[in-house]
Amino acid sequence: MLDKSLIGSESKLSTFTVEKGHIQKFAAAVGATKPEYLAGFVAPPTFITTLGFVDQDSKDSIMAPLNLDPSRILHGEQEYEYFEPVLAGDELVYKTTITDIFEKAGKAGVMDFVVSETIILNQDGIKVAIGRGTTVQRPG
Amino acid sequence: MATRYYEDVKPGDELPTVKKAPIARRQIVKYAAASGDYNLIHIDEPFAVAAGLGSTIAHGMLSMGISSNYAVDWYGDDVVLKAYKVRFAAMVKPGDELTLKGKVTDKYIKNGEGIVECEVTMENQRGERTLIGKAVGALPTKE
Repeated sequence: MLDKSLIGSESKLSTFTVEKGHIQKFAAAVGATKPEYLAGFVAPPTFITTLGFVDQDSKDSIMAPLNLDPSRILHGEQEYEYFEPVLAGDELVYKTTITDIFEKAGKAGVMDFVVSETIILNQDGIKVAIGRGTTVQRPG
Repeated sequence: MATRYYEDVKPGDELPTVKKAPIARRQIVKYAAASGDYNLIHIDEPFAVAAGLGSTIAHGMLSMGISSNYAVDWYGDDVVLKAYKVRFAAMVKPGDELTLKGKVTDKYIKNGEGIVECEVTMENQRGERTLIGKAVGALPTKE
């Protein structure tokens, strides 16, 4: 069972520079067709997922204290709300909060669920998007 | 592509069905590099087998990425995507042949914008749904 006292824990504020070449690489990887994505000017809808992997190997990661087993984790759900476009050159500022931790009984045993929310602002302090994701840990 | 207007769509309208090429291991590795998600269950076959998955699995976010572009392409040049939400219903493995389908589920005016909601699904070659999504987009109005 995961440590439920971690519900409500918040990451520090992080920054992320949106690079044109990174957008292009990402757009190609997801098979985007819109010219503004392929040219690297505008980030495709799920580009902001990359923010979540910047510190994945770091002890500072908000997820680190959960001690999840990478071989047992799956992505259950993901949601993005969009307020402003993310553009090449943007200096994003973001923070992630663990909003829920719970278990469910499955066929093979107990599955752990971790829900997190990431709020993303741009360099002007304008909210561009909110991401909410559910990570599932399969029974060990 | 072209502009699609709010007035041009109605609930029940179907998005064109699109069948994708089989998911390639190379595509998964490319996505790992682009996204920064290097979890070995996606890129290391022995690791994934030892984890009990049978083989590597594609990132859920690759499916979300593909399906979000499917939705955005249908909405047309002048959409403002407001939200996209998915549930990953089944794992996707190399070689899986995914088919995208969609349907307009609702439309309404909100804060002066023409909002069109769509259900988007991906299913594999066995007809199992691997992703169930909901897109919310604002389309231009003719007035």
